[in-house]
Amino acid sequence: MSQRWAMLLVIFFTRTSLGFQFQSIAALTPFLVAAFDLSWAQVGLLMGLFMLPGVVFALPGGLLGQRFGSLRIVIAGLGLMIVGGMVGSYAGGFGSAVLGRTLAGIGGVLVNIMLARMVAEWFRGRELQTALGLMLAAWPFGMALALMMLGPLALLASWRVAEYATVVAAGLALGIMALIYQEPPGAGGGEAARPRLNVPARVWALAVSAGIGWALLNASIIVVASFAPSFLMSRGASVSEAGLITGAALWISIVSVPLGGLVADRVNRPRLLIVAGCLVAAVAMIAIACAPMPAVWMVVTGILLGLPPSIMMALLPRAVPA
Amino acid sequence: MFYVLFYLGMAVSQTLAGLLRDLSGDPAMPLLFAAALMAFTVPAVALFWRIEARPARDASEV
Repeated sequence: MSQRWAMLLVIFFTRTSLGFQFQSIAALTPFLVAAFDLSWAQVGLLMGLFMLPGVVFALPGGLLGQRFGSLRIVIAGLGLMIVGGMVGSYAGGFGSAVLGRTLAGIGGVLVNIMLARMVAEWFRGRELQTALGLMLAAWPFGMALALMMLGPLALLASWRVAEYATVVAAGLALGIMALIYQEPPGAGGGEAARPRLNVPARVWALAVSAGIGWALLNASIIVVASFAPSFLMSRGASVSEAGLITGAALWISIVSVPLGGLVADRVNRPRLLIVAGCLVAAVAMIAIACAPMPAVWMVVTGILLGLPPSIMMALLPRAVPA
Repeated sequence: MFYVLFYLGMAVSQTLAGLLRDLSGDPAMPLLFAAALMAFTVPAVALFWRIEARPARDASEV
């Protein structure tokens, strides 16, 4: 295996630990609600807090990587995920759970931004799309692992032990990163680039509209992944069954997203495919909620979700070439 | 800006989904909310296409 593919494996494992920790709240929802007497809005807040620091750190995170090097920022981020996960697993109430989740979220966002940069540095000019596609798949892969593993682990031991498993995963990722990962020649360090704010108004408008579309699409997927387990339990599934069904749908989407990209390239009707793909996926989500056999509709949704993402991801780069 | 909106959407949507479940008392409500978010993706992308087409239209008018 060439060095860059070995590095991609390290990056994949690290991003899997991100998805694993992110989805721990959804996997452990019934235990957390019982332990802290949480409302569903509080559960949703705990889920979302992992992503909220991205609003602040999305821009400076990239600059920090340029200034200090990607590896140092990833190690610092994984350290924050470990501390945040520990605070969460020892939490005595909602307040300390919020603190733990926020710390883990800051770390997670920094790691997330840097991993994409690492892939771009190693695969610049060669097989970049393939490498980025594999890196992107690691997140739902880790989410599905959390849904399948953490509920049963909480039943066997406790929810605190299950939450601690996310600390172990982040710790393993930190160890592997520190011991194995190497920056590619000529990467990292140097002067931090200044952000370009003198961008034409049209480009801002394109970025905002594409960003809203991308946010809505991903928010929709993440709400299904986060709230489907508790919905399935309300329809009679056990914790393990609910995690398994939702995790299986996520794993199906890992395959269906690149296949959707393939279909999009063949059909070459991006507008039609985005509109049809989003509307059909929305109908499938309604069917999960309202039709009989929600588990079947979860699988159908996992398949249908494959169509829009790759086309939407390409909208902005095609409209605004670098 | 693209990623700021992405992270904001991911964070806020889950809190809203939980709030909707509290208000309705229905475990299916977050999934219906997710379906609405997916459907609203279409007008957001339509706005993008409209902005994208604007300079071409301006150029053709000159």
